[in-house]
Amino acid sequence: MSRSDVRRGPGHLSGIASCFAAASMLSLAASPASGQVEFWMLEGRPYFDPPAAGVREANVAALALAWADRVAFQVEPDDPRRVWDIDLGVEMPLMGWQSGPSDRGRPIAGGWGVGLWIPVDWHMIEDFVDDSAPIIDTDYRFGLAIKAQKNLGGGERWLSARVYGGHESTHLGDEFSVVGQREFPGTFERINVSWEFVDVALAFEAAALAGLLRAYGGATRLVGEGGYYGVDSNSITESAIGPVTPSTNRTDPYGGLEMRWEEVFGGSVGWGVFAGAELRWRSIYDYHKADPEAEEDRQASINVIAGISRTGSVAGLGRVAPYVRVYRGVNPFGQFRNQPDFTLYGVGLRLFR
Amino acid sequence: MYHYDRNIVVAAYRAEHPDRLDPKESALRDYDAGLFALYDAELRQQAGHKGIPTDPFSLSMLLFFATRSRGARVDTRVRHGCAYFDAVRPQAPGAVPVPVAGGGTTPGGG
Repeated sequence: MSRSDVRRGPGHLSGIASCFAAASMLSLAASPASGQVEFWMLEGRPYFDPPAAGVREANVAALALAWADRVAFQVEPDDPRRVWDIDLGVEMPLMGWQSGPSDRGRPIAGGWGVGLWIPVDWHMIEDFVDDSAPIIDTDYRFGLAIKAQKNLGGGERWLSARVYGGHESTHLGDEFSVVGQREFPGTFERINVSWEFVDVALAFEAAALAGLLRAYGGATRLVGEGGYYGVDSNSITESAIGPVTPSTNRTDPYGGLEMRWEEVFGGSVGWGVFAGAELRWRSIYDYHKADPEAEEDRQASINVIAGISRTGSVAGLGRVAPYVRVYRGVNPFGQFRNQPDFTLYGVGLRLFR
Repeated sequence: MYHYDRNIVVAAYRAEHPDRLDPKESALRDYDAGLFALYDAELRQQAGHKGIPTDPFSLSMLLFFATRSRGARVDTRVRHGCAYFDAVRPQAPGAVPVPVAGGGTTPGGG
């Protein structure tokens, strides 16, 4: 497909395609001399895969044997307590362009690619101590992401970017809420954490340290007039404590590192090791600030994972990889983001692409 | 001028782009050049260490196997490619394929 074909594009896609115009034109300036621009659609390219240690990324993981600190409105005093932490997410590729040749979907020979995805993800924590093993909270995110990648120098080095605009909706479990209202009538509150965001991130990937390294950093910024959560009953926020004050902070920066080593043991086509860590400068929500205009405190919150995965052939969803996880910082679940010094740890399985 | 056997470049291209079975010549040349930049040094190094000939056809076959590996790094993929290459090439001139279970054959030692 020639560049003129790409610019013209299929008629029914021209509206969406216009979203790419600026990025594509910028990228064209950096394309290889003889590189052709190809249009692709509905097939994924690994331009900026969800960071494995990202707490609210579109990964698939089940931290099945886990423990977490007690949160507000739980009945039994156990602390820490057995929980499940389940993440279920996918990024659905829509379409994009890539200059020059690719290998395994990645641009090579100095080429670049840009595309559009729809990320959808869901994150749940369930308690196993209180009666009925209630689901405590479920967070949903979905939106639209533009991702781009540039091969640097023709070898195994890539620079990637992601701009993700989305919505996050968080929900207390129904059993948890019913019991909480019954057991804590004077303090129970239901805060509707629901907001729109733009997340901008850059990543550098390279073959290094006998493995594949990815370093990334970015920021998640709240957009729109409201804060991270509603403050009155019209926004489905209700508190027996008193008036809920709005949030003030708007941006949480983050950065992370990932390493993946192949065939560490078990011989050729054996087992590899992966590890990742993400540090996020999280806001600590404060629903009852003395000064409504005051900025929220923050806490550096770190999520660390490590696991093993097969190196050999794979198809479909990916490899199922045993892993361990430790999280420490602001509670990442919905309205419990007013809880600092929250610890979650355990072992489980995740899909590793 | 291709760096690798054109037919093998076509096969690798089609495997990478299953929706483009009739690529333009310029796309094939770009692909060949891209594979050369990404793989060639590693192909020659590992082939040399493993005693695999570095003639154009052998390197091209090795390249094809490497591009089909699921390894994440080029050196892993080339290592897998070498393993596949060793598994399918005759071990000596005039080697006779050895029957294996299931009715197929595999190259035998001389």
